[in-house]
Amino acid sequence: MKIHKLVEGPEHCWYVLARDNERTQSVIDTNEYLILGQDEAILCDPGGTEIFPQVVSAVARVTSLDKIKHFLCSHQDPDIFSSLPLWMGLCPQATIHLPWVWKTFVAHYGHEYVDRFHCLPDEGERLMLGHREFLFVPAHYLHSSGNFHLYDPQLKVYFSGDVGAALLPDGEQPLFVEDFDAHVQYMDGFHRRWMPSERARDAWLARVRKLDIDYFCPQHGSIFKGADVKRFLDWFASLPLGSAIL
Amino acid sequence: MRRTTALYRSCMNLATEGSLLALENEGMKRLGLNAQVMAVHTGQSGGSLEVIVAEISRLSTAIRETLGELATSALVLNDKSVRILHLSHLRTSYAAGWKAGIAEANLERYHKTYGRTRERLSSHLSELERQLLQAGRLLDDLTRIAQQIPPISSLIRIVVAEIRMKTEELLGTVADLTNFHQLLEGKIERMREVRRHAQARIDELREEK
Repeated sequence: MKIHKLVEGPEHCWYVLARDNERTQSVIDTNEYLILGQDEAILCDPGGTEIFPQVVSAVARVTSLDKIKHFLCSHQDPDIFSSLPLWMGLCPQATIHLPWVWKTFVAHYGHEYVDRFHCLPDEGERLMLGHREFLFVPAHYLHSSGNFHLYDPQLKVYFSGDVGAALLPDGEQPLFVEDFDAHVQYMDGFHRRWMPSERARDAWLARVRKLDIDYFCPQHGSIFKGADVKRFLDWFASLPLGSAIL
Repeated sequence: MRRTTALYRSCMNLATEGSLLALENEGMKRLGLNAQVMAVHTGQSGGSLEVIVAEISRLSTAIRETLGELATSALVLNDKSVRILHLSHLRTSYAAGWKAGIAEANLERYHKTYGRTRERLSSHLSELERQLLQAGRLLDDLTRIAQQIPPISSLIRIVVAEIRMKTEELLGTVADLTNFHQLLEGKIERMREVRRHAQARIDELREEK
């Protein structure tokens, strides 16, 4: 698994762990994001058990594991955090931030760590990493009924979970979107099918368009940066959703 | 993972066989009741038929009690085997992480966590092994109880010769008892086999690095 420094500020930096060539081909490729501060780190959507060995090996290359004080579990899917008991075995002091609606469901991954769960209220919350503030942004029904993204106002990075995800073919997996129009084909079907609610999408767009974003970071596929962030938001705004409503 | 899954299945099978046998034992209890009714009808109260009733009832109770203990043991076996399945999964993932490479600064923490997982796994395996031994002892008890069924059948034949009444029903009881005896022995053997299988999986798991 490759680990890339995405952006670096005076007090913290973002890493993305992506393009795991050693993974079993039957599991979807995922991006994990590590926000590394001076004394603390946040790991966003650490991934499933199948990719744990590669993720922990990569994370351990750039930080001491005891620095990991926070995990974001954006929603309940197995590719998000089925590795929970493995990570909590290594970082028992960490807090798992998750949507309140999924508390008892995510507990199926490791009930013995439920006292480390921090349930996020529907309206979202702030998180301090050192002196830096981060925001858990509500993204309910995109696609999960309890869903959060993470925004870093200082470095202008937005972790967007499954929004902006693309199912890229082998051999065409750039870390950043290089040609937005050509990239659309890999996002189109995913968003039409996985995202169920245009009303939820519009509410989320109204919130997110107010944020200053340089890097828009989905959990699958390539990262949008610069002008491509707005291109994506505009494209998503006009997309019909819920394609499987028969 | 295949070994722990096989171990879990063995433990589950042991519990299932025990439950099925408990249901069959209800049939034996009914035989005792039937004999009791016959004793009243034939005016044999206090006689040989009463002895048969008491014997069937005693064996049925002994089987029920032993199966009850076996069921308790099976619950622990199930619980432990599920934990072993989980811990074995964790151990495999930690081992794969180790193989993928852990940076020097994190080696100690990683090694400790990996070690704790292995210790927990080993402790649950030991407990499972103790429970399997207990299940083995209970199966020995069941075997001893089963050995007491043929003498009852012989006793019934003697009584049939003595009272010369209701012979069909009583000989039917002999046939039912014989069937139950065969079933009991078959089930015990099956449970012994499952127990041996579980023990073999434990031995293999202990040898895994």
